Amino acid sequence: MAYKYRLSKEQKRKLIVKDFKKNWAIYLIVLPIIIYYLMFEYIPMYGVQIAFQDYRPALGFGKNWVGFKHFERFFTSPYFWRLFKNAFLINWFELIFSFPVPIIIALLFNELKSKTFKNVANTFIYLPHFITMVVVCSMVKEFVSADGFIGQMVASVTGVEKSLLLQSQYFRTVYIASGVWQGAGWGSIIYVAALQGVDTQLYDAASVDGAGRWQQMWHVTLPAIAPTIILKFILELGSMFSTGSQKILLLYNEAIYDTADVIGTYVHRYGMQSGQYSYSTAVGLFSNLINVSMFISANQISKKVANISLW
Amino acid sequence: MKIKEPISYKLFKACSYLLLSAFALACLYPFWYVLVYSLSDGILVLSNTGVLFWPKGFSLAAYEKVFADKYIWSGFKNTLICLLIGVPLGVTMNSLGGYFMSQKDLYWKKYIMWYFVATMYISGGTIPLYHSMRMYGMTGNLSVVCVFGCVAFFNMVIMRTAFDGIPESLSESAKMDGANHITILIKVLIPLVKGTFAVIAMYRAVAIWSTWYWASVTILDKKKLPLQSVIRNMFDSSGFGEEIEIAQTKEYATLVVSTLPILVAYPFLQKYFTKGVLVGSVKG
Repeated sequence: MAYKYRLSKEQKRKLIVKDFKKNWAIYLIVLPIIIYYLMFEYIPMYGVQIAFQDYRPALGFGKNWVGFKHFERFFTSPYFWRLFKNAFLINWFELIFSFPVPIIIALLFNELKSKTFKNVANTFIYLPHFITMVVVCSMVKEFVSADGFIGQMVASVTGVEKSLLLQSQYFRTVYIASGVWQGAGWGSIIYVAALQGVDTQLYDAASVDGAGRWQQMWHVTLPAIAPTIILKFILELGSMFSTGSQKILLLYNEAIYDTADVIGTYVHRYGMQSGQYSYSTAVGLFSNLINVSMFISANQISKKVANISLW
Repeated sequence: MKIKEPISYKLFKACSYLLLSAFALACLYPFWYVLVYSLSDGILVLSNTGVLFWPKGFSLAAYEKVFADKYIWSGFKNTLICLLIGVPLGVTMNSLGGYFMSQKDLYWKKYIMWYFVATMYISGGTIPLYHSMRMYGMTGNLSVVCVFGCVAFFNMVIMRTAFDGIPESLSESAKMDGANHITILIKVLIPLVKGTFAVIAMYRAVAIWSTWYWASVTILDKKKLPLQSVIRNMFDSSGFGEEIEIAQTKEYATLVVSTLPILVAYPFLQKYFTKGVLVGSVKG
């Protein structure tokens, strides 16, 4: 509803009463959803206050205010830079190695005509997406262990007979390679969908103008999926310092904290395992702030540069 | 008019087939390896180096071990219970939300939408969420698996998109006949968007099937853990207290057994998930 003029208080009140009389049933319908968001989003937000307190579960909220003590402890912690460096490097290498793979897969599929081949190949390459993270990580752990087939192959080159997940220099490779295996095929769907929308007349027109297949790919196919690529790219840039911690929790161990530990896993260890609730909440809050501002600025930049934005 | 393809393009096409086939096989091979390993003889296979294409020896001992493991059975049972409760809950909630979003001329709609959207940018984080759940009594039991995540903004948008595609006259005429919102939703709208409804159900089913974190963190009683948490525990403390020759193949057999349900459901999953991605990407 758009109003051309400001309503007086009285008019507004009447409008609200009228709206409620007419639509109360719809508000009743959405009530469970509102309660859900209250329970799992807004009440936890209220709980963030413990980042500024020395919280003890027995005492409850609102006591022992300590200001920024926990933030200071985190900023001066020797792990502060390591956590950001690890998250950044994982994201950076993902951007270089994982990001292009679905695009390449979609482009290759686009060149092929055989429907049967496409269907069979799709069935295979989508499959890993549906395997649960726990099972994937368990498989990875077995494969790269000292007697797993990948671990053995690497050992035959390096001579170090040890699980790759016990050697910190391999963690990122294992993490990213397993990510490509699990997600690249599935990730190609949106690009394939974007390519299906391309008017075939464009290709005909291009070939009449003398464009070869390569030029067609460059001048017709790529521009067609460029908005999708840019949109995905913005999302990646915006989450440069955030990594899903669940996969790392399943893969890592004490021996490789120096490359594998990120904010999420650090919060998990200090909060859920050692019970340092206030400190870990402060760490989580700080990383949330970083991530939101990264996300907003990535969107802002792309709005300026490419005129594409998420909202 | 048929233009003859130049040789370079033919080469390129052949490379495309080759690369895609290689990637497809690479996607499949790990599953084959796990299956073959689990069927191998526990001692013989330990001496194996490198890749494996057929079982070394043949033994079902690992599977006997898996089926004798009480935690795997209780894991299956617990996950099944969560699915039976969580999937209906999820589709109900997301349908209600989608129905609300598809309504027009509501004074509070704008504010309620903001109330939903804001949570995508700000959140309390893991620890405050944990404290809230403890306050609701959701820690230490399976309710966290059933309830947490049953509403998702993205899923509500998918339902809304489906409802928006139905001519308004249908629900208008039902309203004339005295139908209330719930009747319209159940009798008129949902039968027309069965496909989308199934997409949401699949999303919830896969999410519940996969979840492990909150259960692993909060449930101490091992008999109450869902399947994924059981597997996680097994691989975390791999091999302790078991004869080494069977431990390895048992782990592989566990992976096979726990992935089987997904493989059985895979044709449906592939169909509906693909559909879900496309609906979602159209709406942005």
